[in-house]
Amino acid sequence: MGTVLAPFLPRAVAGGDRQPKRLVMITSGQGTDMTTWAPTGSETDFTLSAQLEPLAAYQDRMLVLDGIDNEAAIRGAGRGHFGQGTMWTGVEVPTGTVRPDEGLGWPTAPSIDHIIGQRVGRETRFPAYYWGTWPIATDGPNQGPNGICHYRGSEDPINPQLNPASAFDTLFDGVLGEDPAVAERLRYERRSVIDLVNGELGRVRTEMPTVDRDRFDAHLQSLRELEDRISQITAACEVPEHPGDYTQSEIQSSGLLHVFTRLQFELMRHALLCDLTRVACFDWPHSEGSGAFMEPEGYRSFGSIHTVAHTMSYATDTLNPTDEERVIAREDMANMQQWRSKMLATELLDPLPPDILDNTLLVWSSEMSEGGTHSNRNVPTVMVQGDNFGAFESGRYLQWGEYDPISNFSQFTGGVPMNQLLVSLCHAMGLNDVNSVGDSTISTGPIEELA
Amino acid sequence: MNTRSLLQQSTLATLCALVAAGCYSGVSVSADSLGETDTAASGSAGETAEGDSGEGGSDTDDAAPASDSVSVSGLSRLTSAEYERTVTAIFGEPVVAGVNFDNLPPDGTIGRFETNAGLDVNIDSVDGYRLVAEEIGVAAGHSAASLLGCEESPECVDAFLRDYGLLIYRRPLNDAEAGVFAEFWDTMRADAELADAMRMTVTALLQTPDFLYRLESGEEGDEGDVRRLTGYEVASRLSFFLWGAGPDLELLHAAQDGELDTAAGIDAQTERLLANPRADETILRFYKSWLGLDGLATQDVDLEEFPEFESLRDDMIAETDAFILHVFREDDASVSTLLTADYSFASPELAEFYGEGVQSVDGEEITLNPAQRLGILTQASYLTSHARAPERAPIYRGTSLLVDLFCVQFPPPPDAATAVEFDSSASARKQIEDATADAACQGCHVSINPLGFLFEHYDGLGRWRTMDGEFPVDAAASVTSTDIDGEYASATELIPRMAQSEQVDRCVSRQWLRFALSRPDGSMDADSIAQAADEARGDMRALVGAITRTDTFRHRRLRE
Repeated sequence: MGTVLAPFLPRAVAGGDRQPKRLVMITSGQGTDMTTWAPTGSETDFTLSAQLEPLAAYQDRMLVLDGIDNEAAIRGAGRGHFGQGTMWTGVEVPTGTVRPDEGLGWPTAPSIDHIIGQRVGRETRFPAYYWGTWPIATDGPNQGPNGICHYRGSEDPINPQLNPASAFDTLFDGVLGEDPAVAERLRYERRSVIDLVNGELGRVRTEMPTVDRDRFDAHLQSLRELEDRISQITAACEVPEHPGDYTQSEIQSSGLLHVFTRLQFELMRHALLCDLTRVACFDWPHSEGSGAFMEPEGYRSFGSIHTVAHTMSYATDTLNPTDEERVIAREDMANMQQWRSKMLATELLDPLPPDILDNTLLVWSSEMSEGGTHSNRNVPTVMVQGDNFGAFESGRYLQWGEYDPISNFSQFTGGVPMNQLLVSLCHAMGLNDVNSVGDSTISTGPIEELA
Repeated sequence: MNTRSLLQQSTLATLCALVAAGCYSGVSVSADSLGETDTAASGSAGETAEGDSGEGGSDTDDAAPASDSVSVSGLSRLTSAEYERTVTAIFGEPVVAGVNFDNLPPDGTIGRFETNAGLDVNIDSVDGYRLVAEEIGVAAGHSAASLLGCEESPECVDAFLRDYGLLIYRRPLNDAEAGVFAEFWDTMRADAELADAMRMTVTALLQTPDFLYRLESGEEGDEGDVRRLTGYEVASRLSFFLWGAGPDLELLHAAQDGELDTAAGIDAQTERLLANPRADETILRFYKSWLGLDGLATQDVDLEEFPEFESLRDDMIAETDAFILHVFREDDASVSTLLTADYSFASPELAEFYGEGVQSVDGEEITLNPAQRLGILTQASYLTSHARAPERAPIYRGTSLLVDLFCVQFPPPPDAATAVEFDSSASARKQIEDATADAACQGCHVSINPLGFLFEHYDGLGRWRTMDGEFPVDAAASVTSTDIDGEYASATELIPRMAQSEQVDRCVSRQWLRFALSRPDGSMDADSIAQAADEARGDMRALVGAITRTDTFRHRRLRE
């Protein structure tokens, strides 16, 4: 466990206010085996599937949403593969040069984590913070909206932090409440450096050609924001132990995904505890990666997640899966989803103290339903709402739409656009004036049935 | 505006221009593949980057460049790798060991080359710079006495600031700047230790714009849009180009002595930097970025279909690394040798994978079976890197050949293109032909498909094959939209012609120029590209030198 540097006392409580609301957004890639995902039973009296069973302790606080369509992905270029860029933004992926092979660009709107963070997180160090596990990144040859779910704005992707040591450095830097003199000195030193750098930027700005000025202005603006961020030191709270240093090849090893998931979830919990952010996002691998980590977790390991997702649904000239291979692939996908449910329960939600958990809303979804069909309809979505959160009527299994029975779970009609869920999430976090997120021609307004 | 949106806008502009000019039914060979839109916007086709050869002599000393012979350069910010290499060279490996450079902000790319040109910072990037600078500052504080190198006194501190300031600012600090830091030192020293003053001073120096950006204002008095770079600015361009890091003292002293104001002086330094082992990493970075090979280490290959890949991946990478360095360092560094060498450096396992006719020379060097393999384009690394979805390999490989080697650019495919699915009812070639038969597709695929089909004898890992599933491989194809159009039986027939292609030669020159300048080439760089290519005559070592003598390397254009 971490070192308690001072008794935990969130700012809001210290100020006598109510606990602030927190949003936890979980994204996983490639969907799951949709034939075994949904609960059985009625809206209020239902039994969770094996995939979701590890969350059973939270069933009265859950909303299982069966029938949410990642509609913007269906409308845009690139289709199924690129639904990560659309699911939290609500806008389609345009043509462009970010992914030269497919001719795709970045989405042209911010994602709701950023929209909400900018509104509710101004007094925390990080309006929103982003964790992830390999292979999600904007750099490297696979960059693009197939792996990046979060955006500051138009064509401005946000890289989740994949390195726990870097997340630790960034998050808990300056959280050292033990000795006021130490904190005072640190604040003084940082202010002094920023003052000096400001001066140098000002000089350079006038000395360099005027065409470069916008760049220096952006730097000056960022420095002003940084000054606000780093002035917030000495928030007394429980700092976790340093997660350890890992090499890039370890961070990029599919065989260690379970290790990094735990490390990142621990940092997420402490970031919420310390009120460093109120919008915490975590992304599990998307288009690539393998199931090598499953064996140490007590499941059957498998190769490429991408291949398994394909195998369970359809044949290609290179794969030709037998019926048995399809069954195995479906089991592997279901196992992985069950493992994720387990991680969310045991590594994230269970250890949160009640005052935090009760004021937290967790939403978990995927860009596709079944990876093999590349269907962006009926993406598996689950929410867990803390007891004091009060935005939705929880303990429910909500179902919209239906599959064409002869389509092998590939044709689905009657779903609700993700855009409406995005509006509902904004309302849940207090942004009641938001009536539309992303492409308003898809839909506007919240999902009325949630309330 | 950031790089990404610049690129996006220019591509859309290109697309519209092509459609407007009726080019969509045929590939437009456009000079401005990435950044500059003027050529496409004017609707002209043709390789304008070639320009007229022979114009623009190499000796441009003191001569103003023709005002239209240099394209716009934005402001570059150091990439993470440049940052790391630079501070490692300045402070030494022991001081920076243990610094978490992963905290540096993510980098952008232009085309296949990593660069932060045009990419604005945000709060998270400046926070990343702060964290890394603080870490290096702490380490410098621990070595404060040895870094200072003399008994602490105002003179000693001033000397330290000027010595390290020279390396960090990549030019001498003037008195006012040295004064600012001396005052900062004193402030931080008050009520604290020597280590604290050192820690804070290094922390601050590494967050200054002079360190983080490659500032280029040009010679004093140059007020026009095209400015001749100062000696120090040329030193930085040379060093970031050839070492991927800031200049060393010898280069800075050459700048101080005015040596970099002449082509001969630049030549001497280029030769020195290139000969240094520090350039090995640069050489590899260029070739592997250019040919799209740098993702192989993390490429996701279906191990059920290609179980050999797990054990061969590192061998594939090692083969190409050894081959590139050998061609560039030991052999004649020619485009021709790169493309047609009959030797390589494969492990025994990889040599066996390559199959019949491959002879081991000494356990690492092998001779190839020339009927099946020639040069880098038939190495497993290239063939695997461009087969991310194996059944689409002809499209990926054909696109890479056209874009990377012939410098042909075309608009992105329409939305429907990525929705095509494959099955086992016919060969991949047949299915691609059927799927792209539509006139709208043929505009580009008439050029992409044949080049890709010529490589159909190589499977998704580059293994030689004669059957594609149940169907015999048919690799013969008719190449269009290049200067070596015509019928070819297979890749090994095409490649020797590519080695003689002027279009490929010019393209190599353009790619090196883009790499050297960390920006896309624009139409106004055409003379420099042609001049460098003509001087080099296919010798890529000579090409590097020729590029550093060009107008466009030695000047900065501020605006169109």
